[in-house]
Amino acid sequence: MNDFEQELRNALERKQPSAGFAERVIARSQRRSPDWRLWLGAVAAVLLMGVGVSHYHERQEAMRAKRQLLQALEITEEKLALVERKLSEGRLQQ
Amino acid sequence: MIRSAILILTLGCCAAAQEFQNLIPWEQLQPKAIETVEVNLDGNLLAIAKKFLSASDPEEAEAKKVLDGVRGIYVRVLKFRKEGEYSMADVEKLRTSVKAPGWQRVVDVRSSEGRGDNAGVYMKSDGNQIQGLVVLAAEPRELTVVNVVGNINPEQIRKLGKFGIPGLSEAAKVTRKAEGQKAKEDE
Repeated sequence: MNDFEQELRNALERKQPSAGFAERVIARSQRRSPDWRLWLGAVAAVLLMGVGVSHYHERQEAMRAKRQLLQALEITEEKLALVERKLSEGRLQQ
Repeated sequence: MIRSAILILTLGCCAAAQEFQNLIPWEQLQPKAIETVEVNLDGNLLAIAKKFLSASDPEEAEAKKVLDGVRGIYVRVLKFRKEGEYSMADVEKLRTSVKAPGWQRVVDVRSSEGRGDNAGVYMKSDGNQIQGLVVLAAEPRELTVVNVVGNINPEQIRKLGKFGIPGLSEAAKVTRKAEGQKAKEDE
């Protein structure tokens, strides 16, 4: 066996880990860094909720405006009809 | 340029709204009313409302087309429990407001009875285009004023909403003819 083989054997020789190695590995695996994906999901959910609420309010406002518009048109119709009726009555009386 | 145009349009609408607020003594009459309707649709709200008019509903689709040139709609309705809650002076004040230059009386119905129905249709124009329309209906227990601001022609008025009032323009012609004859007689 030459020197090189001896060096190789020494290098690849099975060695016992230092005391407490297993505990250190377990402790590190349990000490997880904050999950950025979880935070990103939460932020996205909040943003989506905000957009949804805003959209809901906009829609509510639009529907209220539409109801008011239809009501205004109905009143206009009714009053124009009254004007016409009064004109017809006037002509009949003449 | 565009900003200036928007500003001018906005100021125009605000001025129209302000002008309309002064047409009837709302604050004074509202406490006496048993029912009131107040509609204030300025340019922005009208645009939003128009977006939500259904194209599949024939009436709403028609209204959408008619409202193309309209920049605002303001309505005031006061319903009273008994007659005499508003004075004819209030009505006259309104009539005087729409006698200003640019305004044209299309129809004016006056009751010969003290508290009969009084009604009128008045238009504001710049000579070529109609700038606005006011409908007044003063009934014994109800006072209604409608102000439509914007470019809306008589043909469109007849199509407004779900109504078609074929006799209105004809009636207006008759009224103008009668007024013309009266003017000749006066001469």
